[in-house]
Amino acid sequence: MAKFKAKVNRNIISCRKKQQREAIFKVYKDVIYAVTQGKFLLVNVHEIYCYTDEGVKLAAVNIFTNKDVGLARQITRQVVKDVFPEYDKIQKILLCVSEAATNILKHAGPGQLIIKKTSDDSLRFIFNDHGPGIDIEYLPSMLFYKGFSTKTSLGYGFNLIYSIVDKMILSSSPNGTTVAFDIILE
Amino acid sequence: MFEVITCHNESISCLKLSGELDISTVEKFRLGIESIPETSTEVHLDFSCVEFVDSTSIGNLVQVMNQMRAQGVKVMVKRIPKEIYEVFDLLGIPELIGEEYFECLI
Repeated sequence: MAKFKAKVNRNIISCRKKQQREAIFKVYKDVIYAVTQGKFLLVNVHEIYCYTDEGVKLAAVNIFTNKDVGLARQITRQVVKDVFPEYDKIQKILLCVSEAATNILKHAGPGQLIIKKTSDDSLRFIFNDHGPGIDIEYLPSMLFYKGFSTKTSLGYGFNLIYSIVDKMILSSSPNGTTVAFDIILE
Repeated sequence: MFEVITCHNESISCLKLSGELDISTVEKFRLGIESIPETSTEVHLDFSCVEFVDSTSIGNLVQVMNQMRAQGVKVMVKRIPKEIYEVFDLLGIPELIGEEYFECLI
């Protein structure tokens, strides 16, 4: 009987902790969305599929080694050239791709980039990994302070991507992270 | 693809960098820096043929500049293409190190 009560108590505590985490997540999501005026969207692992399934897939690149960062840029350059031949600000897109791919290698291990066309004038770059995830407590610092990193590198990457792209979507859990960003090619 | 061509005289060392500088090539940049003789009091990094930089490569450049300056060596980053300088600017590097150490190609 005592064992049963202890088990019930553990379940109740676990359930409350889960509710607390969900409440904190929702506060972070709403505040960051409001502060960034809708530019940054934090979503949970179930919601991210709404964004990663959208659009037509144009290319995919596995990011396993440092050399794949250059390959990701090369393929991005080709995709943009094919779809929007007149576009002349490619350098900033390549910078975002390089930053996101490098972040995967530095913080998560192997990952993948998928490039999609989501509208007549918009591309979505989706980066997936199975690393340890991003602690959402660090998000405000990662987004709004230059030079912040949870690792001992200069770690400007996340802030740099945010400053360039038109929309950014993040989903992260201890099983991995998906970072997607949209660039409108006008 | 990334290359470093070095040229040293008594007190000035020039490193001409070419290609894309990122996580996969930054080691080559560091090796180039290590080849600078201890007698050099001034180092010129020629960026005119650099086609790409990101925060990882610029982070390494800043570390190198800070280390050399601490040893009394003046480091100048010269002939930076406009598109590359924009990345330096986005990261606030000229403000951090001093605008006089960065020369942009017009």
